[in-house]
Amino acid sequence: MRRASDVAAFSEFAEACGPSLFRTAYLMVGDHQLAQDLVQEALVKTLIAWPRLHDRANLAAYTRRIVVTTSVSWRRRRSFHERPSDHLPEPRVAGDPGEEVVTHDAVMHALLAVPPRQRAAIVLRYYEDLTEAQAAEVLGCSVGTVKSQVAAGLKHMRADLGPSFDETLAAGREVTS
Amino acid sequence: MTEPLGRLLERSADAAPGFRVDVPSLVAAADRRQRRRRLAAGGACLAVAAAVAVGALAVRGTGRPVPEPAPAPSPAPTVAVDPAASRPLVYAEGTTVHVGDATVTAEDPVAFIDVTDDGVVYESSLDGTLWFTDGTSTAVIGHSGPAAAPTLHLGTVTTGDTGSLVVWRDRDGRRAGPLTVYDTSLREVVGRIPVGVEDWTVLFVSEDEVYLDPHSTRLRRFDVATGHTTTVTPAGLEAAMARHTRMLLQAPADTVERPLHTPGTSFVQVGHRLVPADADLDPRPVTTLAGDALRLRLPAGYSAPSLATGGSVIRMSQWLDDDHVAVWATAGGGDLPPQTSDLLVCRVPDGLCRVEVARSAGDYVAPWRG
Repeated sequence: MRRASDVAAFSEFAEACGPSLFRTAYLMVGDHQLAQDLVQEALVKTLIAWPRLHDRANLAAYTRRIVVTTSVSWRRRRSFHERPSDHLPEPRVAGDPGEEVVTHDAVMHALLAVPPRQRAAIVLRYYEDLTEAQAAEVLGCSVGTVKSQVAAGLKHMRADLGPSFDETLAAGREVTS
Repeated sequence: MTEPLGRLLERSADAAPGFRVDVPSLVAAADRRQRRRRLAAGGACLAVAAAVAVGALAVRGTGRPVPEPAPAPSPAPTVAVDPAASRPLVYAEGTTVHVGDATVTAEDPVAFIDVTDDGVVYESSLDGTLWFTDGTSTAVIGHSGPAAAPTLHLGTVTTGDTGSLVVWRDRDGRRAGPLTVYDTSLREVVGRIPVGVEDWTVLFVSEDEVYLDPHSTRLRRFDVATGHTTTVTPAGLEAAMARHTRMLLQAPADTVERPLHTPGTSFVQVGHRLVPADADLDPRPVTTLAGDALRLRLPAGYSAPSLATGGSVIRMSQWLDDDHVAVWATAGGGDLPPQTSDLLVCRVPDGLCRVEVARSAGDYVAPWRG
């Protein structure tokens, strides 16, 4: 049976990292409930693996990798039956009708239209601010593939958002490599 | 729209409502799942026994996440591999490492496995320690800086499809060290390649050379015989790869991808066929170096392992000889390592496949050609 000390340590880890994992999951799937399910799935898998996870300093990275790989495989299974939607996945936040909300909603919409592995590469590089090597480790691919996935994903987003997206990219040139 | 993309994504993520962790329900879910897996393992053993008796495998109704029955290994070896010119079929189930017909017990459940002409390189317990076994003797051969695992070993620990070389980034205290080149036939380190702190990828390992992409500069070739590293053009790398028959080529998805970075490794099952696919599982043709399209045909009635909700991950595992590849079919879902797998052996020239290791349950790891 599970040791009480393991459960206590896991509880502390889940409380501390859950919100951050949830935000990543939300960017990956664009749906609050699905993101909640995704993080719970990742935390359950982490708890099952807990006895053999000796490097506790890397627990968050381990669980984030599960969030990303699971979201890609969930999407992969669903993609046999579903096509990308033209509708926003979530309604805009009430009371925030300004340009700013429209802009990040538009970015979210464009992001969710990108194929899942490309989306994962963009989220890891631009939101999580991982280096290409770190993103490659999370995605289980080469650094070259991360570069090509990010480039292809940004190309999709540019096609969706128009030329003004280039200004956004230009403003974000500081992203680490 | 002049804010950086990262900031815009941050705003989108922040707009999501708060996340509440319910630890007791997570613990209960983990307990339930582990109980189901133990039952599933027992159910699988009973089912295999029944299959031997009646000639058919029927695995249903145990609550396990495998709704489809799998055929037992084909009764006659219709896809025979020449034992004189082949690598052993390798994989691990928990702590049991299979090297052809031999088995070796690892200290901890195996997290990563790969193969050379001489045997198996594996890592257990994700601590970076690399072991080598030829099926009879086992020894530690080094320590990799980043830990390898089934889904993230590419670029961490790399072997070639022929020869005896294994390449990994060494661990030097808490800092990543040089790339170590180890020869499993000599059982010794035969080279160290200083790579600095920049990003790099091991692109290709032949019998006596290692090709690297440092990303920031030109491609490099390390010659084991001389110990020298020289620059090489993409055409030079392609020429080196073309000298090897164990190679499949996949057309790039778009102009930003280089074809050599996208070997044909993923498949989707369509009826009785295994159709090569890209990372998003969209069909993408694969050819041999001779230019022949790869068309793999599954045994009659075969269905790849999948979760109850559907979804399989089917990947190239290893070359057994110039004409035969092993294909690893697993239930999808992001389990690391996957819980249910089949290993198939396929003959490239005519595409005929047979199930070599059927429907194994438990932590299961096979080489993965990424």
